[in-house]
Amino acid sequence: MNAPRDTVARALALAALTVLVAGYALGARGEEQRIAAQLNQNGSTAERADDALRSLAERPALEAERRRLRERLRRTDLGEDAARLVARFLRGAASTAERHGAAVVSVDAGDAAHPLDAQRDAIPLALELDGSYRAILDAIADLSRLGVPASVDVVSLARTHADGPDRTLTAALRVSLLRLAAEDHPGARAAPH
Amino acid sequence: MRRINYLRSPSERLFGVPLRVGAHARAPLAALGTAMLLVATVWFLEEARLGAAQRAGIDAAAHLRSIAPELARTRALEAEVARLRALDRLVDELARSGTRSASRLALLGNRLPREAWLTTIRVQGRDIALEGRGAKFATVGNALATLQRLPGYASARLLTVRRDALHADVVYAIALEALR
Repeated sequence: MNAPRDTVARALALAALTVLVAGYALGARGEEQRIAAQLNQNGSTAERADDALRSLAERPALEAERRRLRERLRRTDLGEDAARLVARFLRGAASTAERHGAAVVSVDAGDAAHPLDAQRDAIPLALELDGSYRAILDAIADLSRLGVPASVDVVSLARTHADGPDRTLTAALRVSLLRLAAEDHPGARAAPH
Repeated sequence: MRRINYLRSPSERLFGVPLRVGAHARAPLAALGTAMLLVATVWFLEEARLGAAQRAGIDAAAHLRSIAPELARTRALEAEVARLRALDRLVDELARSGTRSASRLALLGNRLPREAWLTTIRVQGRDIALEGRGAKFATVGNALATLQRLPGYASARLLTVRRDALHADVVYAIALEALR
């Protein structure tokens, strides 16, 4: 008579165990995964919001820096007109050389402008200066500060008359004027207000 | 003697079906009930946690959407400032190129002994070829030793040195190789 009773008790105990295991496997674990995924997504959203708030807080400083940079760059001719840039550089080079006691003896603008990247190209000039050692060095130092963005490199420096008593030197310089495309100008693409 | 109970069992009262649970089945039945209750409680708590997390996510996303237009303007400003900074650095770098070139030549002239003067300097990339004159061979040796210690250059190599009878001095050529 005890056998059927034991069977019922065992079946009930097994059912209880099954409910616990199935409840954990199908319910609790799945819910935990969904909660973890949601918390993960919340964390990422919160991180983006924090980053956005930091950016917004920096906006006044960025606006001040933009004003300062525009003001600084306004002092340099970043024009897109190559002829105007060359003319301005030559005027500046001649007066700078003269001020230091040197002279521009030749300018060769033979090569066409070559692109540096999508927004910029370089206008090459070959320049020769005559003068004393000191005058030439002083003029070279000032040639890149004429208000036209120009890189100035020395190709050679030699005595103008190799065997004579005259100590005049001739410097051959390679100059590259920087020209910007219209959209790269400091005033272009201003941020919307 | 057989016991007779005239009271209706709880199952009879609730469902109209007399369920007789023997003493041997009560403990497993209680365990089953407890297990079901436990699973239901855990499920309820998990659902509540999930709901709270989802609400928090919706709130955070709404906050992010509300600041999106302002953020887009700030991002555009950041991009513009980055472009201006790069341009400013480039202009600054170019403005220093003349001084750098002049300093490079001045350094050469200043380091040479007074009795060894330069007649030609040719810049070939980062290397430099020098030609000059000196009072005597020893002067050229001193010049070479000085140039070998010049910052930014790996070596100073003597190319030629010869006596010039016409000018009563020596003519030399030296190659300066820049550090790679």
